[in-house]
Amino acid sequence: MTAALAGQAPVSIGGVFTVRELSEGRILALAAAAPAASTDVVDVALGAAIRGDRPDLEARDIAAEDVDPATRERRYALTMIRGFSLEDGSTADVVAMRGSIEAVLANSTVSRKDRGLVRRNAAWVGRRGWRPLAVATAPVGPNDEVGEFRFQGFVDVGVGRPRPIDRSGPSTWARVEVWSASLRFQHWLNVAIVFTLSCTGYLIMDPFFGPEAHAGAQTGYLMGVIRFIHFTAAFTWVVVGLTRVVSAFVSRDRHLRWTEWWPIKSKRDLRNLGRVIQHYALIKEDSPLYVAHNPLQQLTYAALYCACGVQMITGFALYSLYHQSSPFWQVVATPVHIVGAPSLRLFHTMMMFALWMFVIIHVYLAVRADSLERHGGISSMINGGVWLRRGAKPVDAPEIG
Amino acid sequence: MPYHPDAWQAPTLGENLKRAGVTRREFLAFCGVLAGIFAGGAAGAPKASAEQIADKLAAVTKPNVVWLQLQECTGCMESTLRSGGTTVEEVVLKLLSVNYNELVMAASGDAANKALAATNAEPHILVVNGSIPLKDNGIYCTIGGESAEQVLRASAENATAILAVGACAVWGSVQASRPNPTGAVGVDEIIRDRPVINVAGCPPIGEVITATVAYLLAHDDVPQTDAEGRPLFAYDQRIHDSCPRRPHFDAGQYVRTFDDEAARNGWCLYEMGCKGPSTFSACPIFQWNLHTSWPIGAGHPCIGCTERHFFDRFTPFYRVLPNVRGFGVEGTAEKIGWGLVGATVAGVAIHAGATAVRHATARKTEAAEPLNAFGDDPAGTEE
Amino acid sequence: MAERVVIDPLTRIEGHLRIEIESDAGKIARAWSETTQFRGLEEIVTGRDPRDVWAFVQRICGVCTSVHAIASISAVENAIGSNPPPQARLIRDMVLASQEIQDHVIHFYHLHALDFVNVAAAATADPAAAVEFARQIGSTWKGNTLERMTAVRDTVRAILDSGQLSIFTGGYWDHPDYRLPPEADLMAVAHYLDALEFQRSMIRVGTVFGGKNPHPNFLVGGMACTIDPNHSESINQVQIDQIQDWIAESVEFVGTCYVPDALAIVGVYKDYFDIGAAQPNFLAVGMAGATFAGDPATSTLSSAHTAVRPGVLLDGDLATVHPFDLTKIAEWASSAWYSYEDGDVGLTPDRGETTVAYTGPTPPYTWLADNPEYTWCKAPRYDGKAVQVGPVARVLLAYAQGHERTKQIVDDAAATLGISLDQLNSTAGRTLARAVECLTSAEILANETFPTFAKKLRGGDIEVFDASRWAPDSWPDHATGVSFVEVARGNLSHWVAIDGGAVSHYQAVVPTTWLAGGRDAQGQQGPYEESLAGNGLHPLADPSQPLEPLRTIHSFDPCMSCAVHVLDSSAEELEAVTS
Repeated sequence: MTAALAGQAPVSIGGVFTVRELSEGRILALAAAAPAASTDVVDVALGAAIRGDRPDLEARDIAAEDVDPATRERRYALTMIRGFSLEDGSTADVVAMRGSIEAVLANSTVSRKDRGLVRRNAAWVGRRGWRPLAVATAPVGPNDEVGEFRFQGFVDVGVGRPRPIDRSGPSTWARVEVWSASLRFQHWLNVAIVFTLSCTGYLIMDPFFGPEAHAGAQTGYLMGVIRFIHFTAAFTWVVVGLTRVVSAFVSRDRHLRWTEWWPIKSKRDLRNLGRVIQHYALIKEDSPLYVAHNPLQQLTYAALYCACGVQMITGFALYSLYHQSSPFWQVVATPVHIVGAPSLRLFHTMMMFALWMFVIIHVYLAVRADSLERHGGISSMINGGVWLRRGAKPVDAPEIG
Repeated sequence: MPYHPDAWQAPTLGENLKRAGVTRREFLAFCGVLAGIFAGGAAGAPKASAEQIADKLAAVTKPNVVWLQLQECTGCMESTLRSGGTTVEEVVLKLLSVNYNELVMAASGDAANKALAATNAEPHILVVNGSIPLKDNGIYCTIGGESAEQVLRASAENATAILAVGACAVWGSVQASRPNPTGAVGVDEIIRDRPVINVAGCPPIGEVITATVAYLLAHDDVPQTDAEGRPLFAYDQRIHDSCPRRPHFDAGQYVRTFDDEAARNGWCLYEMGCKGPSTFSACPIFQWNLHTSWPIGAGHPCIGCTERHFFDRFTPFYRVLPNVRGFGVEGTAEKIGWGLVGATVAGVAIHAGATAVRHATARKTEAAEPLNAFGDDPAGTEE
Repeated sequence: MAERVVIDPLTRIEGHLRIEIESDAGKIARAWSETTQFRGLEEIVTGRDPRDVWAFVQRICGVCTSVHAIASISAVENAIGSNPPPQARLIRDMVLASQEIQDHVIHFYHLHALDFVNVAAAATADPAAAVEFARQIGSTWKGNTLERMTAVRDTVRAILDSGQLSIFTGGYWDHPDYRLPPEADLMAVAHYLDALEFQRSMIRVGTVFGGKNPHPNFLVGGMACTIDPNHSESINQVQIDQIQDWIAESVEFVGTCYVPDALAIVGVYKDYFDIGAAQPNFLAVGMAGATFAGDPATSTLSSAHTAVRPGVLLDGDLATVHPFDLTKIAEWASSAWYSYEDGDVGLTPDRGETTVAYTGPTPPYTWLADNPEYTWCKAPRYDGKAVQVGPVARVLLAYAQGHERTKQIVDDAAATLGISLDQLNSTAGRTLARAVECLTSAEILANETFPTFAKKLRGGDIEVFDASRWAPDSWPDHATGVSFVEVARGNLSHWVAIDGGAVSHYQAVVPTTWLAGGRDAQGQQGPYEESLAGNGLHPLADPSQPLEPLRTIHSFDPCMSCAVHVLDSSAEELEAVTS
């Protein structure tokens, strides 16, 4: 299936993606329609593929004048194919549009759902080194008038030695429900609380605003309100945190349990952790597939939970200074007696900045992962489901079917 | 010798006070002051009426006191001298028999050491000013040829109560600040088998010092203390919580520069680095020097002198937060925090750029092999 | 046969001083002044924010509280170019003056008087005779009443009767050299108690401006206390009225109680004008409270005290005022437990080193002076000479420059007592000079400093802070500063170097260092040692009751926490400063 001309890298043909109007074989046949004498490497490779792999398909010889080749301005070729046999056994004249996927998509119709799938799959093969050669067809009327082009699929065309693509399963994406509604609610509640605590906390650290000093300046309750909001948010946060800790031990949802915070349960986990780190360090392109959190995420989130816990402890130790007559708050104040209140304030502040750093990296990596892997990780934080390729074999879940 | 003192003629302090010409009314007035001070510590401290205190005080016999001054600056003794101001409060010093105190005692040298040894041999109250330098066998503070530690241990042996008065005695104060060249520590680092009452402050308010001693006599017990051994009657709440400028804090009204209009209005000194929110002391309540003023009242932020390690943990004094160590004098949390956030954004941008470059490179490799079928470089279209 | 006498602790001083003496036939043959406390603040302030350092160095001493803080902020202001407004300077002058007056009073009555006053004898005195004695010595103090004297006598009796002598335990009450009549003893004890009350009141001037005392708060660039006649939260007429009262009280107390008492006591112990002379060299930069940021000889910045200029009196010539040159100050560590990189040399304070090299015995010990090194106190010298600082130096300098009020009081006292001017260099002379100075200080405070301040305030001059140099980015990368302040015990100077916004070198040359230091490389004794053993004539009748040397040492008003060379740099920081 490899065709090569002098001075050029060998061209090979991989699998076929179809939007399921036409069979994979027909897509391949449409793509391969070319004059027998064509010396174009892609035509040669496709011809060889048809002959080698699909002897059942008739190799059609197309007259040279029926082909309008692709140009730089119009990155697709148009080929008139007479008597193309359809799925139902009948034959019809069709015009095949063949070329760059963006050009073909732009000049043909496809359902909104399929367009996403096409893009997703095209990007997927693209990342593995293949070029998707798109195919669309239009019916030809009795008076040779050409109808509307419909997008049909694409053929993987490889130059050099692209990585093989496993298309054992149906070539499409599956939606997997991962995150429970309660977890998603907690996540966004946490976002709101941390945002509130950060804003008010920053102002408590440095109240750079405030009324000007002049005679009769109104004595409002500005800082009092800020601190009230800070404390209210803090108490809410503790409730959310406690709920999360309790659910980590009682929930039957695997993704809520505490085991999700400790990824290193076997040698394989450790190896996968190394591979994830290498992936983020841009050393390796691939990383192990996880439906839920990868090992680095699990460790990071475990640390995050600890950091938030410490933030609560230090915050409430400072808060307890108001209540030194109560035995409970005296115990809460213990850190103050160990390091002194200002050091605790400093620590509390630096932890806030550390959380900000986490948020920045977190948002970036989420956007990055979603844009590279197209799994819909961002939307999953709202609707709970991620997209995975059928046939993918995640580390933390059964094969996606 | 022209005068031969008789034995103590009256059995109790009350009777001796009567002999000294102190009327019951004056004595009650004094005890009223004490009651006020004790009540100042809102929670925990038992409320006693002036009457009860007077009865108790009058019934005690005159306790002997050893009042040591170790490695220190004598500021605590000076503060003690400035305590009170009524004649009866003057008498409180005579409630005790302070047989050894370097600043005020008449005797020197051998005679002083004899007085110390004699008092040490009997039950007594031990008051300590000053820290104990432990480094190099204690050569950094010696008294009568003995190291501060030796002096302290000898005096603590028969002590019925031990008061560490002042920041030096509580934790070492300025000489114990980084890098603590003489290895100075507080009393409770040496005396570990018994409670030490920590009268914190650099120096403590004079009235608080004398009231702590009077508490021992009046209640026949050591005062209730907080987790750091400080008597609750003077250290149960923060300066911030009883500060008259607190409404300005809550209102967001802050002094932005010393001597600005806000400062003249008596607004909150929080932005000037006031450590009131971190400092347990009754300064705003008792005030200083016969209720004349107090640090925040005189426009200067609190420096937190009743807290341990305030020279290290509360500095720089004119900033809200301590500096982050290892980042120089200007290493403020705010600057460093924003720096870290900026660095993170930059790191993310670089990583995103690297990711994009990597993928662009991959695409470029593909495009390097033009294929006519994709319209990359159709033969014959190039002139 | 020489007898060894150790006075340790030497009480009724600030800090820890040990005096070792070899006496022979009732006279002191040799003496060593030994400071036995070291705190090493030099390392502690290095690397700190210069605006914070006043709070650290203020803790050098709680008796001379405020003065180190003011010296420190002045030195830092000198380094960074900050220029406190005139009202802030006047406030500092008032704080310094009130501290100095309080300090002198405390020293005379509570630290020094028991060297001359027999408390036990006071219990036997006739209160009426005490009132009469007070009248005779010209004391018009309002406390000189029969009721008061009777009450005090009863109080003393009660203490003695109780058998628990409290602070009077172990006093030398049967020493033959207590010479005052019992009624004088009683009057002195009454004034001892009055002085306690007076100092509590007087010190409040510092509390108004600094918020507390001891250790009031100060601010680089001015003062933190706002002044404004029309704001309740600023210092206004309410405080002005209070301060006026306290100042009036102080003039009254010093004039009607302290000065007559001092004159009476030194009059009875007149032989002490011939005992305890130290080197006849005197150094001061002005009258008490004079503050100079930068070199006093060239500085245009000075406090309100401009009547007397800086100067040095040398070799007993009390008429010739030599110009003061700060580069002639050098410190020796010959007898101190430090080592200098360049060996046994004198170092100017801006190049000072403090590397501990303890060679003494491990405590407990009984005798130190067999070692060539025996103290934590360095030995400063001016132009190679041991000099005296303090009230006696300031009074003699003011006298030499013709300061009228000083001349008048000194001449009157000299005539009354029948002494010559050079006899002020003595145990009784130093004590007398302190009283003289206390009176002039109180009068200057009452008649000049405070009225000027109040008048300017009425005129609307309410600025107390220079904000232009507050932010560290307004400072030069490298800066050095020095300040001189005439404080209660003498000439105090702070030297600071600031690099990159942090203190890189700090040093204080303190009055008691000038006086309590030991022998230098030339074998020249420090002033304490010279005053005890200078001529071999100092009396010590009973080595077990060393009353006479206590009188002489107390006449200097020792302040040992100050003295020990607390502030200095380590060698490596020095390079940054000198390069």
